[in-house]
Amino acid sequence: MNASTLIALAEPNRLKIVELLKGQPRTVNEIALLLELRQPQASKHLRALSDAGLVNVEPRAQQRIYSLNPEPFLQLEDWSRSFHSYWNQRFDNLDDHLTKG
Amino acid sequence: MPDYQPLTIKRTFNASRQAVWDAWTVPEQFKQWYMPAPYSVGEVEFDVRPGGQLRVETVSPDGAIQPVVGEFKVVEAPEKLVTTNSPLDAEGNKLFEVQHSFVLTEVDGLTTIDLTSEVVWAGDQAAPYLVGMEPGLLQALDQLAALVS
Repeated sequence: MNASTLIALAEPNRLKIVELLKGQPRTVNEIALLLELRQPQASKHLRALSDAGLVNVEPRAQQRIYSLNPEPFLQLEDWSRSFHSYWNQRFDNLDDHLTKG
Repeated sequence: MPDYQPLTIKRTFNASRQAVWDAWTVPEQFKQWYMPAPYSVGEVEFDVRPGGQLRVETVSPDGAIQPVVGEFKVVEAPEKLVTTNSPLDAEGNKLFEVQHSFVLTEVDGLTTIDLTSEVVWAGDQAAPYLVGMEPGLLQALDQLAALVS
């Protein structure tokens, strides 16, 4: 699990941006407007999300389109599931026991 | 008590349902696999019938023994087993109580265990033992997102 993912998410406006991008890719102007942020502020947050690998940026004409990169969110899901590993280890042991007969 | 989430785990074994049942209910077999290394199992007492008591000593690498006590709630060999488990602290008080429900199904010689584990009761010292059953991280993120939007 990458700490930079959690650090990037641990800011209310950045979390809101991630929520917005869950629905569809958006431009910085749309994001600033929807979240009632000044554009430089929105750009700063988007840069932080992009540096942490949470969003992708694609230039289109004069605009930059931001979208979510699914990879770190899948890692987050795996990490959360890993807390079940106690029973998984136990079941691994049971599997060995049953195989030995 | 925090809002602990039931844990559900499914796993399939290359063994008959009876073999899996025996691994779970015969102390000599149970001892061999129940605790993930580096922990091990000491004495095991099972009274395998509805209302029967159970007691398992879990042994940590430094030799410290933590007893777990509980009860067999449902015993329907070889398909359903419901037990409660409570680890005891040094004074013999229950830290928490978890109910495990195991349903065994056998298809073509393969046996699947469906485990549902629920926290029945948790004392003040229980939280570190119940990692993974606390409200899930993703749910927490959803709740956080709902809170800030």
